[in-house]
Amino acid sequence: MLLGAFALGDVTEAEALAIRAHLDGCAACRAELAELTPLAARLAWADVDRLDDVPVTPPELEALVFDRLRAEAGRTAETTARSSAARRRIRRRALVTAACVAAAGIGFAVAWATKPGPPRGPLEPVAVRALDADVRDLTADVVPHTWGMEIKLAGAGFDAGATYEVKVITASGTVVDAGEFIGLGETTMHCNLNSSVLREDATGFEVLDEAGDVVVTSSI
Amino acid sequence: MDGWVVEEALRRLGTEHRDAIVQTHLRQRPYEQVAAELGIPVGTLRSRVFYGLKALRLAMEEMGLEP
Repeated sequence: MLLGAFALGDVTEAEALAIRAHLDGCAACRAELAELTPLAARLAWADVDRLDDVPVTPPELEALVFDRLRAEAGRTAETTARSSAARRRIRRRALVTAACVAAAGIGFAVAWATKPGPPRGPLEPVAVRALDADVRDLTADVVPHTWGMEIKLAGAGFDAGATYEVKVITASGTVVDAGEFIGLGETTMHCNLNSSVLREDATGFEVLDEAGDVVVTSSI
Repeated sequence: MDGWVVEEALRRLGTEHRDAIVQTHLRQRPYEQVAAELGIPVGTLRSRVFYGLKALRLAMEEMGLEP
């Protein structure tokens, strides 16, 4: 076991002589020594005083760490609160928008002049007749829904900018609002109107101009 | 090689192995004195230095270093 001390050069001259004599005839010890010798050079770099320098934990470290963690947690919570507040604001805005849309839907039918998409659900073409000479190219389909009946009305010649009311007539003779639309003049208008009258209860609908005169009539 | 690497390897050794190397080699204290202080025979201290060096070699290998 002197080999370790020998490798480090920490043996007396007499010990060194004896070890060298042994090494000459012992391959195993020579191999062992070959593995240990490089370590002497490595150890020369070691600063023994630094070795004991196990970084001392400052007494305030715990407080520092936990304060920081709490601050981080607070910031995260704040950010979360901020983003959820923003979400709430967006949601509120969306609700207001939805309310506006709903109001427009109730009082003011959405008369979109965009081309209608492919028909969805069972479309039932219904007879529609213009009572105003200007109104032309009239087509109408109704879609039965669980909540009522949808009217898909298309036509040109409705006075541009003028508001038209649509009313559904039930079998019992009741007249129910189905919304309004704005005329687009010569441009063909495509309009979806919703009424709370169920398809089986509806016998027809009418389109009234601003004067209250029926310009379009349909029997379903 | 930076000293801290060797120091780190030394820190990974068991206390007995590390103390043996530190006291005898790094502090260059006589084996007899260190052995007496530890209450062990000199032969045991020599043994600890020998196995301490082997452990140091392993520690350095584990750190991905060529000893």
